[in-house]
Amino acid sequence: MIEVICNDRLGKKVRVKCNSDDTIGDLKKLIAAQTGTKAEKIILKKWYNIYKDNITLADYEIHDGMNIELYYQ
Amino acid sequence: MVSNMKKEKSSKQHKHRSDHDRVEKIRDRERRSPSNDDKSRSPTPTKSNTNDSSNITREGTERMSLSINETNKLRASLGLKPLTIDDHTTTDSDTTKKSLNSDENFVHRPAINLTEKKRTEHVTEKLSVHKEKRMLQEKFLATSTLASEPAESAISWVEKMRQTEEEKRKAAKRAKLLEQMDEEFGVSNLIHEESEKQKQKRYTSKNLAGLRVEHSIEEFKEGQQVILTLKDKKILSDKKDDDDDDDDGDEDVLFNVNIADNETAKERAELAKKKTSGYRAYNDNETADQFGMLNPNKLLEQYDDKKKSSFRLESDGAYDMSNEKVMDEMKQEIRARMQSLIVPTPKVASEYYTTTEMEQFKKPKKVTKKKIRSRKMLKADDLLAMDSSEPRESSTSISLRRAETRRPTAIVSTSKERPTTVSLDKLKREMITTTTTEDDDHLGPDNDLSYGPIEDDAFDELQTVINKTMKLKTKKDSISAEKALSELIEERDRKLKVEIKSEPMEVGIIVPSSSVPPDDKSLVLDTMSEFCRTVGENTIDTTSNIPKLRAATKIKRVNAQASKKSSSKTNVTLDPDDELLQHALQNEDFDDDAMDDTPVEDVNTKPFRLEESILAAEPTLNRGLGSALQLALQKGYIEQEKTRQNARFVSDISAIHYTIEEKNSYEIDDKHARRDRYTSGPLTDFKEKEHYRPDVKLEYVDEGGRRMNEKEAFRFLSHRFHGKGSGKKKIEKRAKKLVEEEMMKKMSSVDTPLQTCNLLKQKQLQLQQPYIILSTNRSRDPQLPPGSITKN
Repeated sequence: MIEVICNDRLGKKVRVKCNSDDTIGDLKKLIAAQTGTKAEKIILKKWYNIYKDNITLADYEIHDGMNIELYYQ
Repeated sequence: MVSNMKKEKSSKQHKHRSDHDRVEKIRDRERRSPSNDDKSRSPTPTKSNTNDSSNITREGTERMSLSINETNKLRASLGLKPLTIDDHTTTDSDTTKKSLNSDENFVHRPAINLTEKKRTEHVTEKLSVHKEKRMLQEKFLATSTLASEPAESAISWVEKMRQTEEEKRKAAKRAKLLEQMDEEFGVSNLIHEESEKQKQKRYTSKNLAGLRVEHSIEEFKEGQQVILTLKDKKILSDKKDDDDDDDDGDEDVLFNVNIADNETAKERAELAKKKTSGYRAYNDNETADQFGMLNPNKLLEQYDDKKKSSFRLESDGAYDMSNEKVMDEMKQEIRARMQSLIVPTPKVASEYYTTTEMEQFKKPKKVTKKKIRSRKMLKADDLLAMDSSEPRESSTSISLRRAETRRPTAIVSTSKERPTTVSLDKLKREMITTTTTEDDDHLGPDNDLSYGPIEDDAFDELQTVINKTMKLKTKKDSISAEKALSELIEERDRKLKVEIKSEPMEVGIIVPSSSVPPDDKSLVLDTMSEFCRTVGENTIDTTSNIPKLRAATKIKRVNAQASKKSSSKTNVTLDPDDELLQHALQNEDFDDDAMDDTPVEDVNTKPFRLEESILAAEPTLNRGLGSALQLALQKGYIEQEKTRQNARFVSDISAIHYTIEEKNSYEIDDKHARRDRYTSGPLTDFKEKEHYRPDVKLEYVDEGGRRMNEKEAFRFLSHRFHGKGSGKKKIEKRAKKLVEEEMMKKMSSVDTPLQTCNLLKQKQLQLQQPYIILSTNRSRDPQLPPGSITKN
């Protein structure tokens, strides 16, 4: 179980608990639930690297406590 | 979407903005939000801020985070499996493991603890020692000690000894019996033969007789030990009937592997050198054979079997090289007889004579034969005459001869003509008698002049004639005679010196060579005097002068240093040790204050220091460590570093402000080199000018004297810089503006620019009415438009 911090630099900073084997899509759903946006609208990025929905966090090497940038479509 | 895009862009732009603003904004917003929206928030069941156990507030901001339970609920609602709760330790360890071996984190092995190491070594040593002891003790236990054996009496011991003897005897008897039996059966012979065969089987060099060695004899040098092995043979030797090259295919051939390898390597090298293997049109490398015969042209010689040079060992296993040597000599002879066709290369003839050729034009000097004393002319008759006439002169003749040998060639030169019929001895006597008149005093003690003048008529006649001739000769060669004299003197002096030197010389006392009479003409060069001259400037003729001069130097030194150093150094009564010390110390000082000492002092002091140090008594070491050190310094055991003062720091003039430029030649156009040229100034203010805060006001003034603001000033500067001003229109515009400004300034503050109020006032005055009717044409003529004014 890891906790990932998603920050959109406009006031929304959420800490989401998830598994390492969750996909990005699942993470987006969780974020959406927490922030009150739509999951499809969310884009998770790390400095121009857009995280794709079908790849797990472990594959992206997203560990506990990492910051991910939150953008919207 | 557009707004979001904008947000994105703005977020990107302001990424480098400090977090403070954002954080504060967030803080404000969030402070506001919980208070307002706690109840009125949209029904999302997941938001709970303060009750969150996992909430960690760092900067005071409230992060939106959910507890595990809530997350699980959410996940269930979304259709995801619940959170797998691992121990944080394992996850952490994974991460740490990952990070441990990554490039950033290095975990080094702990250093070897030397004490631990020593302890373990010690312990292991002890253990091993104990182990060995145990082993030894076990051994000892095996053997019975004297104490352990039962106490025996002497009788029993004796019996034991007897028993052993008997057994020995029995064994010997048995062996004899066996031998007898063998003899009976005739087996003994066989045994003998066998034993002999064993002896015979010793392998000596004779066993090698007749074996062939497959290398040329030249490869074996004398004294060299080369191991030869049998060459590999084919098991089935395919011997052809018409093949005669290999004489005996079955024969054993010895060879050395290394030499064989060398040969093959050489062959390969030769092949490699040959550029065109095969047919050669011009046989350029035609060399003569060992017998002087040319090598025949070989066609396709690479296909010929290589001839292997070999030699055969003789009966005793050795090979005699003497035959080979003979052959070699013959070869060399033939080679020497051969004439080479090499002609000296034709040189370009030079138009000028060389120096060697010039010499042929020199007139050769007339070499007048020097008649060396003709000992050879001593004929048998003379000898007989000698023996018969003067038997008793033999001793003197010997002595004369000895004296003569000592005489240098000067005498030889003087005797140029001499009648040969006179006996040799007499002649010699003549010579000596004639020459002794001149250098009578300079004969050494060894010269034996004990002979008396012999009266003989013929002898006297001869003497007179010879004297005349001698005088003639001596007159001619007077100069050379002087030289000869000087040489003689030198020689004799040297002999004297040898005698003097043999006497024991005292240390410190220099005996002058007074035995040499100072000749007016000659220059006395004496090794001792030369040495002394080089050692000391002032001639050391008298030893008495030395202490005086020492004192003089002392005084001089004192004077020199009295101004600088303390009086402790200027002790007048000094032992030689202290003097040396002082000298050594002053030596140091002299080196340090090179500037201060006058050159005169140096000249005087240096030779004496040397002389004293060399000839004075060796300083003793009973004065302490300081003197010992000085002695060591003197003798050169310790190296003394002379601190040379750096001229840069010593000199009065020094460049204080300078910059070292052009160390690396950068171009002027180099952007990055130019960067610091104009921008980098002093980064911090001058510390000495800290309290100086000037009030600077820069005023720019126009041509007309008007004050310019920054903008105009810059414009003016740029016009000056670029060399061209504005265009016509601009100038007019500016001029107009200026005019307007002037007008503005002239304008009255109370009235309108057209001075309406003033005019009205004047009109009032004129009409003598306190009012003015503002009328237009329309009042007079209603058809006219309202704005038009007609003059009234």
